[in-house]
Amino acid sequence: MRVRLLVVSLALAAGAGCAGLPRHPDFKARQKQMRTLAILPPKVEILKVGFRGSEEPMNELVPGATLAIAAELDASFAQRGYALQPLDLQPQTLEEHPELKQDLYLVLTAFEKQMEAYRKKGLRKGAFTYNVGSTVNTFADRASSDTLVLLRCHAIKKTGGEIAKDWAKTVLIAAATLGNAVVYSYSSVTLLELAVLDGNSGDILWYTNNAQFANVDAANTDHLRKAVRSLVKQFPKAAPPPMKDLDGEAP
Amino acid sequence: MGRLPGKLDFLAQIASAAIIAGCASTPNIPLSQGQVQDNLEALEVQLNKEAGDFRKKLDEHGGVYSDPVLLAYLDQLFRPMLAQPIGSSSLDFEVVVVRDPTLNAFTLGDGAVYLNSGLIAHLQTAEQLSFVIAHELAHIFNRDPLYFTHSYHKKTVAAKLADLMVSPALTFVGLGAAGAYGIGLAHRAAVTGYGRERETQADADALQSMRRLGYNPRSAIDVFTFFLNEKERYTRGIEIGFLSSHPSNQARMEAVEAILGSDDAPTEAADHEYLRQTDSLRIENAALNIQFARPYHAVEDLKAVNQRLPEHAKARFWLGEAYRAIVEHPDQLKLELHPKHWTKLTKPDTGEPVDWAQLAQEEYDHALQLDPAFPDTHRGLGLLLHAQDRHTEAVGHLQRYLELAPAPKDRRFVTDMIRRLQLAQQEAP
Repeated sequence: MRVRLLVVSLALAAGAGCAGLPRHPDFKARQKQMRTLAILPPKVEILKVGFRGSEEPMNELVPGATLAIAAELDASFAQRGYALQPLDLQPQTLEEHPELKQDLYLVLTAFEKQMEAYRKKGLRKGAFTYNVGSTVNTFADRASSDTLVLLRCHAIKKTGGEIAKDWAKTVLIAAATLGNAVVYSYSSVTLLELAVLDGNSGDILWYTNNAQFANVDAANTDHLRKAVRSLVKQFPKAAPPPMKDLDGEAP
Repeated sequence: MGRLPGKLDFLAQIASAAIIAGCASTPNIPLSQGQVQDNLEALEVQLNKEAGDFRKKLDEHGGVYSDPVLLAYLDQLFRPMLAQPIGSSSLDFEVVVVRDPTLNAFTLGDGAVYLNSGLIAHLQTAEQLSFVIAHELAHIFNRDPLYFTHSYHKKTVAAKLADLMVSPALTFVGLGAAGAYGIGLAHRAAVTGYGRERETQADADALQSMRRLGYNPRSAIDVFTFFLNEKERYTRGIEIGFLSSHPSNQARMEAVEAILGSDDAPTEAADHEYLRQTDSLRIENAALNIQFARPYHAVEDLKAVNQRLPEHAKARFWLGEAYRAIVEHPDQLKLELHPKHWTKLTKPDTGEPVDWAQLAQEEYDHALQLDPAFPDTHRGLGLLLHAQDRHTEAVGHLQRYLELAPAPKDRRFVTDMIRRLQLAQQEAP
């Protein structure tokens, strides 16, 4: 079922990508003020899909994938000139502060709901004004940063049987349509969604995903890092600080 | 299951028929008679592990309600029901209250009976809740999760259809166990139930248990009636577990009626002790309902509290919040209510439609009269006035909120809103 949702998300997200990157109407003005960012722990889910469509979480892959994504986010945003504010949300910290865990869950849930609403709008998309609510303040306070970065990763890996079935389907459909329709299914599909949030207002300022190049193997950390890097590259570089910040005096 | 579109309804019927056809091929060995068949031992171990994983996830996500006073009260209801001999079972029996506003209860067979906060909040008497608990315990005593899973595994096609059938409902679950945590066993228990025969047997066992404890078994009828009424009033929240499994609520109610006969006395309308013990949870559940886009469920919960406790500032405040949610997201109300109910409220044949903003304002004002120093009421009022473009008043209340709240978690959010409102005021001609 979750795989079906991922496929639908991919299709819709790919469609969403055609209209250019979704940005909040105030994004340009606010991006000019951005110097620091804090990165929320990536939300990673990896499922194995069997021949009969069974779904099984591949929890053993999640820690490695999470670490790789987090490291790449740090490196890529730093490369674009942003100072990263530390935000300690390690599992142990979350255990000690269950309210943080709850708030993190609320932010992610709100984000999912907002993006679902965005996709549902389809071609009737107006201004990109989506908001995850005030819960983001918890993390903005904790990191002393006005801007937060959120990444969601949904991945599926198919077993050998499922891949064989996909190929069989491809051949049959191609034959039935005299080659007019060809289905190709990747053995691994990973949807990465990256968003930049206003830590004060909760506005989703900027959003992108890799729906157009989703053949990423979540078990391969190099693949994941490359995919994350290409997403972050779409985000504008940090604006140079005003002159007075450079030498301590206004020009 | 709620009102499914025609095609899904058809699939649902096929699914249920297929699942039912698969039942009863292996005779149940109840808990009281010791070990299961050799070929099912591994499955039982696996299911108990899955149940443990589910419980852990639920805890990790802050999904368990942990008010010790309420839990002690529920435990008092629960323990006497364990009198049935349960053999050498080493299960840890307990009641777990799930922070989920939907009306649901389920068990995974490992001794825990999961009761959603929405169910406890909606019921009116301890006897009604006892029927639900006794029903879930019957599933544990009869090892239904094990035997149902065994037959479910054998019926892959039916299982897939059932998955297809329940998926629309899952999206409405919010913090709901099955929806949020996606664990197979919980999904089966909370969503599809354990099949017609097992559900009917659990109902019959629950009635026996109630009689043994001196409870009025007719309370079971009240429970079914609540669920049937829910189905008539709402679309979001056609609750998916306890009473919507196979067979239908109506059929189960009739089966229970047949067992009861005419000799059982009518039930009491309200159990004040039960309502008193569960009031805090009812208010918290209303907040969850608002959070999960079910504002009218929240309105109904809170109106019930306000009727008994008209001077309860917090309940008044939350009722204001529920009305404000409708003002800010009128589409949520349309999705939540049954179309007939929605039309009656918003496009009545006679009179004016409900003025939600006015109702919100009244509740906030009432809450402020009762407790002028409660910061959250000022926040709610500020946001309501903001939605009505009454910027000056909104700023006043939001500033008051920041003054009164010692360390508000949303200080940045409110400060940012005040700044924007002030900016808009300056720019206004």
